[in-house]
Amino acid sequence: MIDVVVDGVLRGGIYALAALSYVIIYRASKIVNLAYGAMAMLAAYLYWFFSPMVGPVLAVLISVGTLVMVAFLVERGVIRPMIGEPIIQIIMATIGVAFLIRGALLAFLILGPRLPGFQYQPFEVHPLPTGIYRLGDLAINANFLWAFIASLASFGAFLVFYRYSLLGIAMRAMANDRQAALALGVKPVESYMFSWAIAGALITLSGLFYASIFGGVAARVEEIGIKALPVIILGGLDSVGGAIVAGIIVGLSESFGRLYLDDVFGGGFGDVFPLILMVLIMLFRPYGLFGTERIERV
Amino acid sequence: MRGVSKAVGIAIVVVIVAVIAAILAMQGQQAQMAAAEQPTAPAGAPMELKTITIGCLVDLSGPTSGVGVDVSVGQKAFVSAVNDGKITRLKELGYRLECIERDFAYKVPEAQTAYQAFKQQGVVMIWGWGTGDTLALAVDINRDGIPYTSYSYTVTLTNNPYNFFMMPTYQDQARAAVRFVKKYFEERGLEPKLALTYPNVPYGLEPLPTIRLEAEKAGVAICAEEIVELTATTAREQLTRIRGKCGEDVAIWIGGTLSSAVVIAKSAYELGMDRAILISNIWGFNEKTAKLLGPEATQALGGRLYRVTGAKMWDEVAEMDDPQARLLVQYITAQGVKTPTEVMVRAWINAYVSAKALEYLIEQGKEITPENIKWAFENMGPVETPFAPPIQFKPGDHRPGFTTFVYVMNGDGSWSQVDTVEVEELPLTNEAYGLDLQGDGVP
Amino acid sequence: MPAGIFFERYRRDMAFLKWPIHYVGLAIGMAALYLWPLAAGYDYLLRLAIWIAAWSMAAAGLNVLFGLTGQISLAQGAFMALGAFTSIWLATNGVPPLLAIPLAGLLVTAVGLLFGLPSLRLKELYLLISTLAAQFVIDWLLRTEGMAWFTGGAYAKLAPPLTIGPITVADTYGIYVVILTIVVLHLAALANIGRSYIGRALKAVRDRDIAAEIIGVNVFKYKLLAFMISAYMAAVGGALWAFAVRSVTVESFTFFTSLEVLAAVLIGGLGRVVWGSMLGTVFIIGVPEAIKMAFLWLGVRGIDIALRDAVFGALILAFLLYEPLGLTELLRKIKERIRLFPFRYY
Repeated sequence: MIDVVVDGVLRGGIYALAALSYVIIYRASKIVNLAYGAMAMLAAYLYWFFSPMVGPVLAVLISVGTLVMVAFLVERGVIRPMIGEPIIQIIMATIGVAFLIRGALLAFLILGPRLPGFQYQPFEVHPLPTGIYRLGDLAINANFLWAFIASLASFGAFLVFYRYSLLGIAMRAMANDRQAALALGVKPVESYMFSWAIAGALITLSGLFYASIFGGVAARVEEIGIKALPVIILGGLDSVGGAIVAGIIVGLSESFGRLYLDDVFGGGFGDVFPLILMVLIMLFRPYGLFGTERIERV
Repeated sequence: MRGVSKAVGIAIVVVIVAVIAAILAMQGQQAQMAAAEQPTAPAGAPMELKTITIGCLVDLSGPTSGVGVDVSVGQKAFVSAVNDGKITRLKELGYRLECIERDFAYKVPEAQTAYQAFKQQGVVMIWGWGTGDTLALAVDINRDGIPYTSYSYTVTLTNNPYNFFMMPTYQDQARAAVRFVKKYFEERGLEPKLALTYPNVPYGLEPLPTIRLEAEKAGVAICAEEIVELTATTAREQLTRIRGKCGEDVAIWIGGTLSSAVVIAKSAYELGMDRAILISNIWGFNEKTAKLLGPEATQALGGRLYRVTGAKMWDEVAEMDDPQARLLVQYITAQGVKTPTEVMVRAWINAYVSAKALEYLIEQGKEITPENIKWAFENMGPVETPFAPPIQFKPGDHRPGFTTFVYVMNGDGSWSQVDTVEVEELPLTNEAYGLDLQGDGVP
Repeated sequence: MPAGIFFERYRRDMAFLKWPIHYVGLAIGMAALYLWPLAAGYDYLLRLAIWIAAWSMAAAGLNVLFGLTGQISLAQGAFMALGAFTSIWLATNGVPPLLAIPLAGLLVTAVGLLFGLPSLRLKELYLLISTLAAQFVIDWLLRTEGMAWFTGGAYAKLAPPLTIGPITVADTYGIYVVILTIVVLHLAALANIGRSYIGRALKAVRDRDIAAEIIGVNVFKYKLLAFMISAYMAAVGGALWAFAVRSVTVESFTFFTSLEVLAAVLIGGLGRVVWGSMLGTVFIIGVPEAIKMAFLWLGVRGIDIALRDAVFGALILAFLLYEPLGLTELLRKIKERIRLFPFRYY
């Protein structure tokens, strides 16, 4: 029981990190980035390719650097020219971006390491420790624990940056009211680009952490993009703090759903339980637990 | 301003397309260079080779691409070996193989459309892929009469006159697993108990009725049944329940694929189930497992991870003293494969048996048509390979054999064979297998 | 909207077929749609056409829901699966296939109603992801062992052959003709919805639901109606595919199908129920097929899967950057250029 709870919370940390980069992009561009899965997979394959050559630390830096560049390019080349178009068309454009990234990744895999597709490749050098830590009866998955710690650290670093740095304040101002921020002299370009760059770095980390659960990289890594969706909705699309709370709720509800509800509703129910819980909560709080409410009355 | 940024966006798209075109051109040049480097056909064989076209339906970029790529590698390796004249007499007889590869990304409607494209391109047989496409295409295949080999080994396919596969059926493999479990526990003087974990997809559900029936017959208690989805990130909850229902000495059947099998193994290790054994189906654990688990879990689980399969695993094949085995290793490593697996061996076997059928057909002086290939498959007698027991098809019964190997993972991550289970041939009826064979796929 | 064409009577202004060229175009277009397979009747192209036809039904349904009513849904794939299995179940229980197809649609409509309920409270992206939940929950439900009697469980569910009264339609061209007829009838009906009081109410909900409520439109009722229409269309689309290929598994319609349908609507043109949905589906399904066939023909091997995705992605981006309102808008602009040739409107 306590095993399962700890497991759920730690897993929730990974989901929260994934959700955070959705939220950052939403706050900057008001869209949901559906190229998320493809970007996470790109990051994981890059790490896999470079880690035996240059070691894990440098490989992570290479993936982060590449993903930041990709995020810059996407923002500059696709999102910014489309500002002012209907939101849903921009979201559609991110699907186009996802195809492009998949294509580029496949080309890289075929020409570089000679993989003719998304072959399941184990990490030669694991990004996180693989064993377990024992605390009395409790066995903690080292991989999950370190992913959780790294997620919290990223969260903390981001919050400090967001709250105290000048750029962070500018980004918050832009997210709250674009017109007012522009009038007060905030440079829009800077805050967009940095939002996407930070999101790119976070996508790399969450892609790596998710891949490390399976010990290697395959097309499966793309699923983190979908697993994080209930988290952002539950926490509220534009709430940074909501992401972490909702991440842990989703992690725990998966665990409890599997533990108690599988027997009641049939096997596999635990995996859809977070989604059902999300819809139920949404009926009472339509903008998520912490999302900005828009008050409309007739 | 808007116009300018739009233009920038379009320019970036154009640049990307240009880069792709450049890559394409480079690739083309490389291919030409490679072609130039290759020795031309040996002198004395100037005759024009006739091409036999085969449709290859593979998943290179979809949810099953993790192993789909391995299949593609194995098939391509075999085709180039044949076209170099290294294996089978096809080249000697004046034929070359061409495999039109189509990546359908495990989208069933696309497979159903690609099938029609294959038909139009005049393929004489199709090397298909998994449960999804094979089941969905059964109607088309039976109507048009095109032989279809697949890597889905479910017994229900043997009812279709044009479906072939080269491994014992999932159901017979599962029966072998049940017997192995019984033997394992009886040797240790324990009561045999089996817990089933499987994903909630057709592929995971297929062997269940047969396992339940076989367990009942063999006196193995099925103490728990749990669903672990293919996308699972942990199986602690399910394993906790299994431990509650079955105790410590239990065999856990894993009916999923590699990634979920690894997740289950990791969870078992974390929960300290030190006396349980895990036994996976043919698509579960493989040569990559140890690296995926990491050294600690491999050490702890060594000797308790089993798998059933119908082909020899890579470690064994690589050390075999056999010309065909050396050829296989040579052609597969020539493709730059980093982690060779038994899946590639199975792909090779699949292609080899098909080529043998073609060879038999040509030797009998018959025309190469889909109908005749089916006839050749059914009448050519057993095909021997060093990697698997002899494979033989009979008219009306396309089960290729009944011998299953059981492998175990050692503490250092290598695999060794521990047992060969030969299950008796069941009549091809619903009652025998505990399932509904009636009319599936028959139009 | 360029100025220049006016009618004196409302009837003529509202007519679909305003000019002789429309009559000619319709006649030629319908004849071409029905007869092209006789000129180039390859099974492959026919199956592709059937695929596009079935998916365009789902896209048209989503276009009513999203383009006209402003409610986003990502559950069309699940409704297609439900429609396919329901129609097969009806047909195997003795309902004639031609009746089973719309009947399955009507039954699935009830499910659509259920999943439309959250739309009362949720908006935009929140609604989008809640319908995603519907997709995954229905998908899970269909895959459970308890539903095996309905979905075939581990095996494919086989549809009986398509029969019209005593005649059995077996060849691909015949199936194509039947399916095309059903699709044309449905799309013609949908084309009229936008012009009726229902369509006006739907558009009012889309443009400003609070204002619509004030002027007396029952917002909840029309939102649910839109969800029902979209579920019905998706179900009929799924049923058509089931009878065309005669074999459906629980893996036939997935989350990816939902994404394809949404992409088709967005690329084709939001709110352009008939043309937008059809052109969008042709793009989303036809273009990747064309790219694959082109690479095969050019003899590009190995790298082709990478180029396929890259080219498709680049095309989507190019279209969206150049013409965010979709293919229909692009066509309209071309039409205006031709009409005013050699001058231009702007």
